[in-house]
Amino acid sequence: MKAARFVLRHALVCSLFGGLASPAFAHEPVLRCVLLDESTVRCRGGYAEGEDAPGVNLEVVDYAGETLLASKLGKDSMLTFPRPKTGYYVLLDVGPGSQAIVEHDEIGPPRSRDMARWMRN
Amino acid sequence: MSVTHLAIFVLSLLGFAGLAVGTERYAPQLVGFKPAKPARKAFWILGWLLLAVALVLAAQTLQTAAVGVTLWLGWLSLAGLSLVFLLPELPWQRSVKTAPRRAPRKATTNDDKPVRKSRHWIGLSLLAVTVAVCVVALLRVETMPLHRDDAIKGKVGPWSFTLAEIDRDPPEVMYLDVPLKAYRIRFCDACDLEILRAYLKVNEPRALRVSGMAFGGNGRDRDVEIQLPSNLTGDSELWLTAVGKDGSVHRTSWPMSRVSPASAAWFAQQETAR
Repeated sequence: MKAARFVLRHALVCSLFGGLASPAFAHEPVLRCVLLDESTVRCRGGYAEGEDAPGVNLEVVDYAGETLLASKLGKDSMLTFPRPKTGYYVLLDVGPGSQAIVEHDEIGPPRSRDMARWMRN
Repeated sequence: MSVTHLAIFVLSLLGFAGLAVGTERYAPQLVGFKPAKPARKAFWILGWLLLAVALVLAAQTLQTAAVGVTLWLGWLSLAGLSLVFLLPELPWQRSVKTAPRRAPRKATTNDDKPVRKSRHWIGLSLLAVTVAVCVVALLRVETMPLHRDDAIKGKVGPWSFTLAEIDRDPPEVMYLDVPLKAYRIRFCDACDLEILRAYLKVNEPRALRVSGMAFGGNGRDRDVEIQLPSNLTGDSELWLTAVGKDGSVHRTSWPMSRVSPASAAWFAQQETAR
C-alpha cells in the first residue's frame, strides 16, 4: 500500500511537470558576421540565450554551391577568413534542422552602435 | 476568450460545491440539510466530473494544453477560496453562529478602540488593485496563434497547413544582437504521417541542406524560432520547406510583410535610425 502510494505520488508529480513543460526555445543557433576590413570576414556563432558554440561546424559556400571553406569555430566561438570574391553564404551547422545562415549581402563593416571588441581588428 | 475563463471558474466553483455536498460534514453547511447517502455519492461524482470538464475545457481552448492546465489550477484556487468565504455568509449558517462552541473571548483593552477607517480603505483598495490587475492580464491574453485572423492557411505540395507567428510583436533581439522570431505550424492530421520534416527560413534556400531551422514539438502544433537576416524588408520572403517520408520536397513562400508585419516595420525603423 505504501509502495503504491509512493509510485502514485511520483507519477503524479512527473506527469504534472511533463505536462507543463512548454516547447522550449533554448538552443537556437545564432550567427553574426562582419567585415573586419575590405578583404577579411569574421563570424561569431553561439546560441540565442548567450552561450558560445566553440567547435561547431562553419561552412562558407558560394552561390554555385561549391564549398569554399569547411571549418569549425575556434575556442573563442569565432572564425576569421578571407572574403570570397563571389557571392557566398555562411552556414553554422549544429546538426540536422539546427542551423543559422548569413548571406554575403548581410555582411558589412560593424555598425556605429556595434561596440563589441570582436568586431574590430 | 473571457467567456472561456468565466466558464472554467464557474465549472470549478460548481465542482467544489458538488464535492462539498458530497461530504457528511459540509453538506449541511452548504445546503442546510444532510442529503441521503446515495445522493451525496452522486453529488461527489458530479463534483469531480465538473472539475474534469473544466480541465478539458481549459486544455483544449487556451493557448496550449500546458497553459490551460496552469490557468485551470489558478481558477481552482480562486473557486475554492470563493467557496470558503461564501459558506459563512449563507443564511442558514446563523444557527451555528448563535451557538458558539468556544468560550466567549475575554475582553481586551483594544476592544474599546474604534477600528480605524483608513485600514478598511487600504484593504479595499488592495483588493480592487488585485482584481484590476487580473482583469487587465485577462484582456491581454492572446488567442491561440493558429486561430487568429492573420494565420495563413495554405498548401505545400499535397499537404495543407496553418501557419502563424507565435506573437505579433517585433522580433526578440538575442545574443550577438541577432533578432529572432518564433512561428507555429499545424499540418492536417493525415499529412503529419507523410511528412518527415518541415523547415523555415527567411530568403529562398539555396540548397536542400540549407533550408533553415526544423519545426519541432511533440503535439500536432510544431514550433520553430529562426534568426532573421539583418537586411530584412517587408518584401523579404519567408520560405517553408516540407520534406516527405518518400523524399519529395515541396516549398512555398510569403512576403514578411504578410506573415510578420510588426517585424517588417521594426526592421524599417532600424534602417531609418541607423
